[in-house]
Amino acid sequence: MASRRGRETAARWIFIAALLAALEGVVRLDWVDRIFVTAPSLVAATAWEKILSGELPALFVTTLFSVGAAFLLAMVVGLPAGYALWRFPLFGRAYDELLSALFASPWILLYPIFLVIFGRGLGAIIAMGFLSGMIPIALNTHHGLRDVNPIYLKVGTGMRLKERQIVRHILFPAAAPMILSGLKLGVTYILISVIAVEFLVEIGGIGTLASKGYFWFNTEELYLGMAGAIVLSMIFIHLLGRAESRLFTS
Amino acid sequence: MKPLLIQTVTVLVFAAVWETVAESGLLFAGILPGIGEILRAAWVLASSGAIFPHLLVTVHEASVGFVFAALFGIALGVLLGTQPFLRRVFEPPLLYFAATPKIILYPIFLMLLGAKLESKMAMAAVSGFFPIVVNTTIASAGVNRVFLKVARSVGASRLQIFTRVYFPSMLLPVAGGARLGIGVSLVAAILGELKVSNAGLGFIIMQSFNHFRIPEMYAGILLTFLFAAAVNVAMTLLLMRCRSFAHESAR
Repeated sequence: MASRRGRETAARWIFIAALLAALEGVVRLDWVDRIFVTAPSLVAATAWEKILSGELPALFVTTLFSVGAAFLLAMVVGLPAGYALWRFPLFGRAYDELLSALFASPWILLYPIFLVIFGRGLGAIIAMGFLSGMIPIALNTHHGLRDVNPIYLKVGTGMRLKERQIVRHILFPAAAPMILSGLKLGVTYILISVIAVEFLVEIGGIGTLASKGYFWFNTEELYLGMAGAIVLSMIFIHLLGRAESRLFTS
Repeated sequence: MKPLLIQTVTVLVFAAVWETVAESGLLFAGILPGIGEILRAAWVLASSGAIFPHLLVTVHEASVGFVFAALFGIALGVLLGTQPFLRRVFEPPLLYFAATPKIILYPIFLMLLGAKLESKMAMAAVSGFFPIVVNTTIASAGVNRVFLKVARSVGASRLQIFTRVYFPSMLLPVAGGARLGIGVSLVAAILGELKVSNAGLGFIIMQSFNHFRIPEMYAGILLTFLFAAAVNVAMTLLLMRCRSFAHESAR
């Protein structure tokens, strides 16, 4: 079995390497205009330069700071909000529908409003991230608590546990998988909206690099910005998946 | 009935708080215009017909993009779903890529296709592609092997196997993916317009922002949301039709 998986992984990396090599060849042979497409080796050289000068790490730190701040705010509001939705079922039903409707709407298009209210700065980016992360966190927390098997709670009452004990020892452990997947969903949406807004308004971290590279016709910088944003998202999602599977296999 | 009451009251309270803050002058007047002012701007945009050419541009971009997304998404999805080796090799990177912000690729399309409609079509195509390919892969891999064996053993032709086995059992999940894809294509086209464009709903919003016509900006966002909601409702109805069709053909 291991050899089959190894073969698949190898095929995947060979494909990616072949793609990059083809790109490199096409550019080196001057088959395409170098203003439009650049060679991966040149992008890597630019990346190395910007790592040494500290520019690239600073951009990553800025993006991660915005994501972290938005995630913290989204948890601080979203988790209690989800609990409140469960605690007061009537409001829960009403607000669950409202939040779902908002989440299904193209909320990313609200960013000009955040620019107007918070100004062109990290505040607008963090507020946008907060909104996109808070909703799935609140909704999943509500659904997780709501769908706990009522028999578990009856067992708790039968054992004469206090309400606090039931919440602490039965309700939250049973709802944990759903709540954690809400947190995962939330941080994914936050990352997407932070990078998207960084790119769109050219403020903050890694998203701005692509925008500036395009504006100044600096093709290496443009592709470095795009690659940086995509690689950062992929690493993030990979780590989240790993963390989730580790939590639930132990 | 009661949740509806709570929802209505919430929206009214939200509107009242908004109006109070707008009137109080707590915030700089330009930032938060009154609701009346926003609705008036929206009415002017809609009743003068000024918004319709832009709406058409956005619909044009999103629908051409979506057609490409559907063609490539369904083709690749069927390939991955029916070839287990290819699926195991390419599905993980596809899923990772699906969760990245596609708008970051926009400069490539701007350089290759220019600042007009074509670059937004490409944005819509790339963004709408992912939900469709993911759903189609799962749908075509999930076609019941027994059905396929039965069809082959009664001597069904390839075409018959496609129309009688693959099509009915894939219809619903693929339609679900297409529904997500349409929404994503629309948003991607508008995001592209917000960054660089000379027409479309996103262009109206950004132009109002840049010229500090803030009530008009809010009105543009409001009308865009109403349009997106209408598309969403239409897609839900269409999906329900698909569902009843799938149930009938399953019998």
